[in-house]
Amino acid sequence: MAKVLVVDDSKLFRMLASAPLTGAGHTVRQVDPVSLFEVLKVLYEFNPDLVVTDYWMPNCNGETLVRAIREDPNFHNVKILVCSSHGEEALVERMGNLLVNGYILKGGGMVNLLARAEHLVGQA
Amino acid sequence: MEDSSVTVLVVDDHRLTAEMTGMVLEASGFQVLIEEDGPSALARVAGDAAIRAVISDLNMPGMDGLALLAALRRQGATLPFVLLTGQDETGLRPGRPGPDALITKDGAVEETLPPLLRRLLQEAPGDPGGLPGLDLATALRALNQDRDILKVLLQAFREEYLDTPAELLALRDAGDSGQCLARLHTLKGAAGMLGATRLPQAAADLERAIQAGAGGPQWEAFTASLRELLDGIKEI
Repeated sequence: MAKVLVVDDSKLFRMLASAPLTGAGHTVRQVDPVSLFEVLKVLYEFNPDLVVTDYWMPNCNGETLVRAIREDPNFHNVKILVCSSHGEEALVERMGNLLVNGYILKGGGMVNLLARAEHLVGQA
Repeated sequence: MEDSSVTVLVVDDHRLTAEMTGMVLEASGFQVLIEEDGPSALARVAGDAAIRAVISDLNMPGMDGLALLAALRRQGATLPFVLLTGQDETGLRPGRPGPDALITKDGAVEETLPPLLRRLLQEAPGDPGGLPGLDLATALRALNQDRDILKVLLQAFREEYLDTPAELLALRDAGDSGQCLARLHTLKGAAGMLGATRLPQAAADLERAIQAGAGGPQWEAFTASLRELLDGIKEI
């Protein structure tokens, strides 16, 4: 089983993303991204295998977070799955260039999120 | 299932035929609405969350029955769709969505249509547990069949979005379309993640309408879809 960190400014979405992962036996921790510092603090404490993050977040957007993770050698093996309501091609391509491991739309539902997350952590 | 609580839409360009089909269904206790063309039927389904099934003629001028079915599926409607036709013609257009059932217009409609409709409504995806507007089976599959967790998520969704129609209207009236769109976008994502069947499409339609500076029917369709889901959650 994997350790998964869910990052989203919406409490409801953090619940919706965490529930299927927890139900599948993974250890899930949620963080409200009030700042990049706060998210990085939890990353160091929790040391997840996978980060599931939103893109548009007012105090710590997904791009900033992904760059911070990718530039930190401590998180070299951490997988990143962006889960956003925005599916514009340019945005998806930009996030892909930042070496995220997956990009899914929230509209795909909990089944899709669980399947993609488990694929990334090798549980599928 | 009490048929008297189930509203169905009959679509036929021949008003008399539509009324006769409607009489058959009303005699079995269904509530019947009638539209005489595809575009009107599309708008009716989008704007009336009470409609649980569509019974449509195949041959209609403009948008025929199969085109209506394809358009309904494109806008996210998963409700059962029964095609009425003079003969078995559904194989004429391979690659297009097929109806849930096909009934030929002969003397047996009275005997075949009501029980067929009851069966389709019982089997309809998105409503296996009596919660219109939600693909409950898929949501439960994602949650390892944990109904208690699903109830927690549904109640959280309801609390989050109970006042949303009024909030959105206030934002619109204040000219703050940016905040209105942001709130709508967040709701669309949460509804999709939860497994709502009609609401994400209704929210997307309203988003586009607001961006275009319009949106009368889309407001109504969105509000109806949201109310359908929230009312259903309230009852569980």
